[in-house]
Amino acid sequence: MTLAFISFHHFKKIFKNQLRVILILMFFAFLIEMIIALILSTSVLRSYVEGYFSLMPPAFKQLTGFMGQNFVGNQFIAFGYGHPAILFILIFTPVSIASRYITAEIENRSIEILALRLNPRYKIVLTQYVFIVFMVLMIFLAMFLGSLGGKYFTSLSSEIDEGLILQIIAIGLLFFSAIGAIVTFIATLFSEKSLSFSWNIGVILFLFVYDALIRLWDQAHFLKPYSLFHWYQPVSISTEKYDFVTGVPVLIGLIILFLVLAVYNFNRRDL
Amino acid sequence: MNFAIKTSQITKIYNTQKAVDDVNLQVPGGCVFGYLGANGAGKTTTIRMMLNLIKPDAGSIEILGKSIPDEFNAITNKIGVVPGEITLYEELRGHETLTYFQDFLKTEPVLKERLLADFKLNKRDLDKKVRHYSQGMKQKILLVQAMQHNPDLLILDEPSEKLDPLMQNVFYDYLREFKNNGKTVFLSSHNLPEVEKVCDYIAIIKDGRLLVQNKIDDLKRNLPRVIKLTFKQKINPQDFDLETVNIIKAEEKALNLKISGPLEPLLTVLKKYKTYNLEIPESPLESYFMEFYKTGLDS
Repeated sequence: MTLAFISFHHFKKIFKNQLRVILILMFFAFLIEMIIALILSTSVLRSYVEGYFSLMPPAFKQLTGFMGQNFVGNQFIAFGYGHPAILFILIFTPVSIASRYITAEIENRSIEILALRLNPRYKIVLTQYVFIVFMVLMIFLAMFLGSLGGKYFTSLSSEIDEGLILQIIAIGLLFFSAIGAIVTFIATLFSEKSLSFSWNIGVILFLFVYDALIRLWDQAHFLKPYSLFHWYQPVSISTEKYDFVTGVPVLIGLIILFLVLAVYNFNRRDL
Repeated sequence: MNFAIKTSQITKIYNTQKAVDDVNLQVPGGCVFGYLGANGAGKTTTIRMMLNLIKPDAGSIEILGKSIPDEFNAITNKIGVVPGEITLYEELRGHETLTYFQDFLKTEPVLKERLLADFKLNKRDLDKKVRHYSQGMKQKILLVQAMQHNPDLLILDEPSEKLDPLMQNVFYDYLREFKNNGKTVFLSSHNLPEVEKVCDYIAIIKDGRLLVQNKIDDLKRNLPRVIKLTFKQKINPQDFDLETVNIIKAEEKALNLKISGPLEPLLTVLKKYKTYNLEIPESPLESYFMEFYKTGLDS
């Protein structure tokens, strides 16, 4: 099977190279969601978490979108999909892949033979982008399996709606694919891996802090739709407050825009 | 004439400095073409422009009759390249590296087994990860990946630097074989004896500018030779003031002469003196190259 815009041969090499990392990240993602389900199913732990969240300042609740007290199962499971540990994994994965398979290849000049063999050049960018999407998909799959495992092993079936989880995963996949497109574009701008890495982290951090500020600051709430992180709110999806009609086109638009920019820049730049 | 590589006035500017300035290369098909220059002269930049890795600021490039970069796809299967100063994928094994690069091509690695045997790369070597390779082994892997599909054009950037003398000879034999089979080799080097040994044509680049481009034999035939003479007695330098001889340096019992024609008139004069020693460089190219490098086009 061949697709004109990517190279399966190159994809296979990246996959083989990253297999161990994928498995470790999947294991962690699975574990986190499983633990969340276990907490939810154990009455003592559940009341402890409820109590813990009720003590949290309103700003924290505003930030996480998770109110804590008297939550329903879906909300808590959704919280797991936006848990800082999960966000950390899902953000660092695209940043690392883009910096490793674009910028580092330029830095150590291994790209010189690759660019001669893998033509046109944009296939290098798109193949690593597809790999980012694949990795994000695998992590979400592991989380989903963690949630399902938790649900069936702990008799939580009445409280958790798989349909809602799949909606969260679909939006999550789009959101982190958009992040992947942004970091891919940034990676094409640099010739040193460390620069690419720090700029990528810097930009994501800026977007995150910007989102936190406008969520905490009442007068700035109107800016919410203009914040990238606003479009990944698993708890909002679980409470059916997520604006799919705007969110999905925005995320798809971002993916297309940054991929076009990445391909354009990579084609025109000196390697 | 059919040219395997043709560049027209290619120029590359980094910041304000011209790394390559108005270079016109014409590499005939079926020859070994030496591209000679000191470190930083612009050899690698020229090659990287040919290979569509960097864009020229001016000029045009044709390789195997195809315009670069627009028709680069058409030549991918027909070229083999050893880039300078690159890092191989350290996490891959030797055999994986060769397969990985080969599998992008639509050609068969017809020369692979022979190359591996000749470059003394056995199964044990190939099963090791590249990160455990010595510099020489890495260079051999690069050479095999460039030649295994028997390309029509080899573009090699200082390829023999890290090879031991034995492997260098194996490599030179392959270059000759490629040429004898009608293929073209573009060999960038700063090693003059190497270029003299295997190349038919030579181009010299200095500070980004092409100084000379010619057949090596033609160049040698027309080049002056610098010879050093020492005598057992005092000499009269005026005796050596001949039409074909230029006195570079004269001492009481020694002379440095530049000969620009037949040796006979000089030999006639030498009969008058008792000569202690006569030093003639193996090739006139060396002194020519060194002189060019010191003084550039003015010489």
